[in-house]
Amino acid sequence: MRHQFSVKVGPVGYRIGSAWAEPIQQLRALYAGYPDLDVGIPDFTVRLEPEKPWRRWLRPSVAIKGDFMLPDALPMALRHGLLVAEMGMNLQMAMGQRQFLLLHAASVERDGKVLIVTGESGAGKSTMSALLSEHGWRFMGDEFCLIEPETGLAWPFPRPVSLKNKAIDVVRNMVDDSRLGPEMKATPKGDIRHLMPPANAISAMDAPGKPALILFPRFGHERAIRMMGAGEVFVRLTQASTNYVYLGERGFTALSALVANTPVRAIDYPDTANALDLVETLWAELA
Amino acid sequence: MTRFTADLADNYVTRDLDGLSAVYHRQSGITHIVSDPVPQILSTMAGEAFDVDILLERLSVEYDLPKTQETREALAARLDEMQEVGLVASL
Repeated sequence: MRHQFSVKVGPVGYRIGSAWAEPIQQLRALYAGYPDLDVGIPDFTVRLEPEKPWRRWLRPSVAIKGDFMLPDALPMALRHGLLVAEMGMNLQMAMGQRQFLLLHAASVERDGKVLIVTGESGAGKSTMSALLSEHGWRFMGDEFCLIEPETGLAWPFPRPVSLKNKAIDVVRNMVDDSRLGPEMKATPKGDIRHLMPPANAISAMDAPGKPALILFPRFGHERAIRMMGAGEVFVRLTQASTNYVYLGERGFTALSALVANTPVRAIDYPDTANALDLVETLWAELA
Repeated sequence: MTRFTADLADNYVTRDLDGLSAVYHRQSGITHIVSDPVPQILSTMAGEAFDVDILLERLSVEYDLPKTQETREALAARLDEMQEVGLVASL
């Protein structure tokens, strides 16, 4: 492809090719502190191509191509090319990853122990992981938590944080502008802006940790903490995993061990101050 | 009377989930979240074929289950449910 970029994020290597220069320039800026591929062979490749040859010039729209493809993925506008690249990287992980049990979850680490934050879209996973990583925690990822079936350890996958809509303003007040990517307005996922993780998240991207607490947060409700039964936790984590079924018995063994060995709570929080306080309270009590 | 059979015990992996059980079936790759007495039925029936009366007989020896009409009906209902999700098959 005309324009190429390769990068290593945690244990995963990517090569991204693009028919256009701009998304690659934006990726280079966003991943400025990240290492290149170890041995030059990527785990996944993502290609950004024009939907039809002439569309590279005329109202360009970007189609995601790669090792794994969704047949009905809609082409998107070139001005959202960075988002397309990020979505392509997620798609390859979600569909192709076999080494780890993948949980759609954010994770942060302290003292070698890992807090896993999962739940539906809009629960506040990205915002909470961004907030915590500015308050003494090591950011491990806001999209996928990688559980190694053989050891039960959680591995980092510290991609830039994908901030959406109101979360952009919450985080913008806390960090230097140089750590924020370009603002993409009115994408299919709303307004999006990426946050570069703190330097320690990238330098420690090869250091896993032991899962010590799992939280299922809900934003916009009165402060509350609820216990969850192991059966409910197991089912919700299978729903949060993109590759549980593909892993077969390795996935079952890994997930049942995670549920058996890790305390879990559901939390409701009305604002970020309560979210931070709830995390610290439960961490002190349970982790 | 309908006879039912379950796969061999080695073909299932069962983990306790605080009162529920996660049962992974190796052949199909399906995970079932079940409550008692499903794991007990699977381990008692493993590889053999029983009708509901023989199953009740065996379970009552192993698990102190009362041999009443009510228990028999409950057991028959559980077997039907287990057949629906593929945990047992009728012969």
